[in-house]
Amino acid sequence: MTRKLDVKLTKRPKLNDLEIGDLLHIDTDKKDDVFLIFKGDIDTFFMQSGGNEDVVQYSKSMIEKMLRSFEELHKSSYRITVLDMNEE
Amino acid sequence: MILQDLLGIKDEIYLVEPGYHSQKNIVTTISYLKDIQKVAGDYSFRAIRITDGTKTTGLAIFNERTEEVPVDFWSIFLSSIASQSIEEFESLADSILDFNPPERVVEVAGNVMNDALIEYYSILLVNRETCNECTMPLESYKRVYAPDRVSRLSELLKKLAQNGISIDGDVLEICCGNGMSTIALHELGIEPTTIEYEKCTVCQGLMHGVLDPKKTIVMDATMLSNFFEHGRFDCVVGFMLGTIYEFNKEMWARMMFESAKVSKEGALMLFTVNSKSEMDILESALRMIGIEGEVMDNTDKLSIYDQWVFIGKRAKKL
Repeated sequence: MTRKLDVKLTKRPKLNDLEIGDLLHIDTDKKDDVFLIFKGDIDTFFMQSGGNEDVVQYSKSMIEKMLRSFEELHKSSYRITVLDMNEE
Repeated sequence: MILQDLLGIKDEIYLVEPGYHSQKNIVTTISYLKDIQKVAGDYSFRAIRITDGTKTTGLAIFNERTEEVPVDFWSIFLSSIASQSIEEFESLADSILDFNPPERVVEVAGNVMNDALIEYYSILLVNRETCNECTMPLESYKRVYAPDRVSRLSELLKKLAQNGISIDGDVLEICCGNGMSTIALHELGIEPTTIEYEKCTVCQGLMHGVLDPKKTIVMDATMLSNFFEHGRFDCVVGFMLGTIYEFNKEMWARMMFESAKVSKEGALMLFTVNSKSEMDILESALRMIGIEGEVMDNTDKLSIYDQWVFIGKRAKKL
């Protein structure tokens, strides 16, 4: 599936459909980047939550379960950007 | 394969249930047996009766190669670990065997069959036979497993052992992922039963030989008591659980409750997380179900994994 970059999406993209180096932003009406999910490798995902500087690797199922619980409570939107690895 | 060895079968074997979890309700098995029973008197076929010593717990039926399936194989129907439809299974299997007397009877204890099934489904997963269109190539060992993370956990476990907190006996590791933390357990001679919901990460751990095919199950940790007997484990561990927030704390509370249910009285419960806020929620959930313990600050400036540790014991009553 071709992913759309930097476009607001109302349906959460599948983590498997992200490309390596992609950054998935989870936003709400009140706050952008409540969660950031980075695809580091084929099946390796890292997550950063707003206010926490740690970027932590979790299994895909854990991230998906967490997002499902979050979405039950908050209307969420999504954006995919590509992480610039050369950015300072 | 253990199952082939137990049944004394050299040909291919095929279990009709698609996963370990479905061996609990055996819906597909019963459906197949009903169809076979209807024609059992019209055809003769080779069959093996499987018993646990008292009743029929399994049936193997030989399928000769055809143009469509160019290999001889045995279809295996089991109720060995089922929690429902056991009597219906026995009645159907015995009725089929009345028309086609078994060429052999094989006795296999339930727990032995359980281990064989775990291995069978692990092999099935690694061979990508449980996934229709798997597109996940294997990531290299170096890219997946971080030696620093493993060694830091090993150090933590050694430190705990020096303080009399040892992980031993029958150990369950929940949310094992690809087995990153399991490596640290193996290094200490601990061979845990490992469970994880995400089958792709389990597949990765099995393919790298990190997870043991005989002890690894794709399973939701909120359903532990459906698969393991209550009070079985001497120790339940989970490393880098998360992510834990207020909005999903019920799910984690459920996992902790299920972990407690399948552990013995006085069993060691050891869990690690990334952040203090996560540990606060986890600790609260554990105390609610009567797990007494303490929280250990394992933070350092260089690492982000296993920063907070809960060390507790399961109370007498949940």
